[in-house]
Amino acid sequence: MITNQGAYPDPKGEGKAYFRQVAIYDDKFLPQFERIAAMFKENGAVAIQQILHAGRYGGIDLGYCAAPSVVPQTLPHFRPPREMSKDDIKQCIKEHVEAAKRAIKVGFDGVEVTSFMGYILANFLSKFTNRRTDEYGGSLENRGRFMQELLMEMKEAIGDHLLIVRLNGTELMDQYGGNTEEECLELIKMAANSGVDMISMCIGWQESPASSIGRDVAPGHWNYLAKQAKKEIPNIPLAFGVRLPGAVMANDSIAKGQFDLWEVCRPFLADPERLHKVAEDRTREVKPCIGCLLCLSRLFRDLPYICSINPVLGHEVEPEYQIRPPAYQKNVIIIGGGPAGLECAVTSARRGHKVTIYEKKESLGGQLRVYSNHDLANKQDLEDLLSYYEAMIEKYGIEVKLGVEMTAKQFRKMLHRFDVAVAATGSGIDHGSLPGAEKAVTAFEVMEDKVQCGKRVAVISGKKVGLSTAEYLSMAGHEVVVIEQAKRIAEDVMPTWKWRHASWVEEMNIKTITGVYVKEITDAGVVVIKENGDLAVEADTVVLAERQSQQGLFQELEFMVDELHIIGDAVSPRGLYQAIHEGYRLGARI
Amino acid sequence: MNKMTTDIILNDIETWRICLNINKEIFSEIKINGKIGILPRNSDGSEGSTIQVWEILEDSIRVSLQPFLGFRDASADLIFLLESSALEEIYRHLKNELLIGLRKQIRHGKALLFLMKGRDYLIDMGYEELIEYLGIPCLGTCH
Repeated sequence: MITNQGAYPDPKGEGKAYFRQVAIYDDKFLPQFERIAAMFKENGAVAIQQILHAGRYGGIDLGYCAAPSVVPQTLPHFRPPREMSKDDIKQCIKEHVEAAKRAIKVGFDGVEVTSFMGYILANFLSKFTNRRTDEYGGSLENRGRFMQELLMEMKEAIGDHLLIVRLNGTELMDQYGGNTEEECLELIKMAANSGVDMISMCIGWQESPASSIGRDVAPGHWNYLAKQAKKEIPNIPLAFGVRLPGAVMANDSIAKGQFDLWEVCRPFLADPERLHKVAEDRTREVKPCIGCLLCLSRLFRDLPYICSINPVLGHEVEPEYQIRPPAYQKNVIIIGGGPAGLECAVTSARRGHKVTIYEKKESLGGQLRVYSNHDLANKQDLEDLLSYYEAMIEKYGIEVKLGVEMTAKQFRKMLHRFDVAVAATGSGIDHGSLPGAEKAVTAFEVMEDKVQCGKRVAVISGKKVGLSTAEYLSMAGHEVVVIEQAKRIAEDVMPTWKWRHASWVEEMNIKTITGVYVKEITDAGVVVIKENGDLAVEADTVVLAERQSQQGLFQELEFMVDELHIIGDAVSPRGLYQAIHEGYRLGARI
Repeated sequence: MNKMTTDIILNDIETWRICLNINKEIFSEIKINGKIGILPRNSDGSEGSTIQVWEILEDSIRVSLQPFLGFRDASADLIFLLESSALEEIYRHLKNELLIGLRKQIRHGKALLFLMKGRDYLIDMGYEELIEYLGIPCLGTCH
């Protein structure tokens, strides 16, 4: 079963959730839907069209959003709410019915209604957003009335075609006064009695203060809610897939009777071929979705989805991104086995080049492996990504030389063995010219357990490496202070993850000093310059965590090889997404 | 803490005024006439009937009490909805840790920040820095 992206059903656009969302309020849009339905069905799938009225998160082209009551927004991205009248409710039902009829008319086998995540029906269901005093507000029964009326009228309109409704197993809005898990379960039962053929379960609202789908939630964490719902609605198929990125675990959950169908969305962005690979017993070759939520970070900026792991997403038809055989096979040396080097090696080997990776450490993965060892979220996500690269290295016969630090002198001995050299040498931490820097250790030394820190530690840099180091040390029992020049910590962290670091820092009582310059490192700690003078920060160990690109070898290899390239953190210290994307783009054109 | 204590804290506008003006650099990015409300949340989840409003003036912050007649009629640009324990905690550390306290209470679920105006207006009025500081990303989030 393939569900096409949610189309908003109203001509005003109150239901429109995001830039470039498809609409289905008029017959003029139908040719595109007809093509999509036909494509799904020609390939053997059941074709479903989702109808999405975003309610509280809608009206993105308007100055307001439609809602059951005027309950202000808690995120600035969304529009101020305007209360719907009873006529508005009737009109909304009518528009959903018409949208469903259009979808069926052009060949879809069914439609899915969105009563989850803070969209319009969910807004009526929730105690937090529904303050109405008429028959659509108050009791659970009244709050569910709009959803029931809508589902019943839609079912009547589409007859034997499938009607699916997507609901929350939990809103994660309890602290705002939202529905409890028990109330969500009652609403699922209410929907099951309203003529639906299948229920799909989701977790959380967009403005939920707690995590539902990010890396800090363990895969399978929410299955208990699916299991509870399945018990209550044994005769209606239940689809589920929240934070359940792997086919093996999903299969196991289905076998245990926790739910009936595995739903997958974001993992397909990471690897659209995943089902074929699983079916062909090539599970190790599946690119894992690591739950970084770069995709959603982009959505909130009105930008198209991209994926950290899959650089091709959104560029599928562009020749520069396609894997094509090269004009002739080249011998490629990749210096550095971090994410950029690994992705470049795999991509160029897939095209037919002969690739050798030189890595100075005894294992591949670079900073990704170091980070995954101390990951406070879910280590397995990053380890799965490294396992994927290992599987691909094996598959494409990439030669790997571990424990060999490539130097210009050594490369000179191999002159003419390689046509292409790629410097994927990553970033390092330079002691630089900071007075007293020789007294400090680096974050990499700490994370690789090469040094022992004292009780009180000052970490210089509140960016991602500094924060990860500070969190690791704090977990190990050290008293940690983070010193950052910028006004805020986590400046280089993805928007969907900044809050996570900020929360960890607060929960672990890590002190932060921001907006200051480091003047010197002394035997007693660090001296920083503040607006009103110097401040001495006492510490037994000072950790340097500001990264610099390592370009020395790249410069030395000039005039020693036909083609020379540089990628990833060696260009400029950034993150996983940039490393993988640059590695791929270079691998696709060497 | 009972309702009487909540009222005492809210009504002590002189202490709030003095402490807000000591810390007025916190609000230095916000334009004149910007308004921030503090609204107690009752134990049954409903809102209190009185809102304390901080209004940004040219060189100071005015604190006043106003009847709260519902979100539809509220004049503030931002409203902090505070559980009584959060209000007490913030009041206790008002002089030195107002923003830290608010951020902490939001994170602990004892305070809720309502954004009464659209994003563009709030950014134009200079609220971005404050909102970001409170841990609420101006460009939305989803986790």
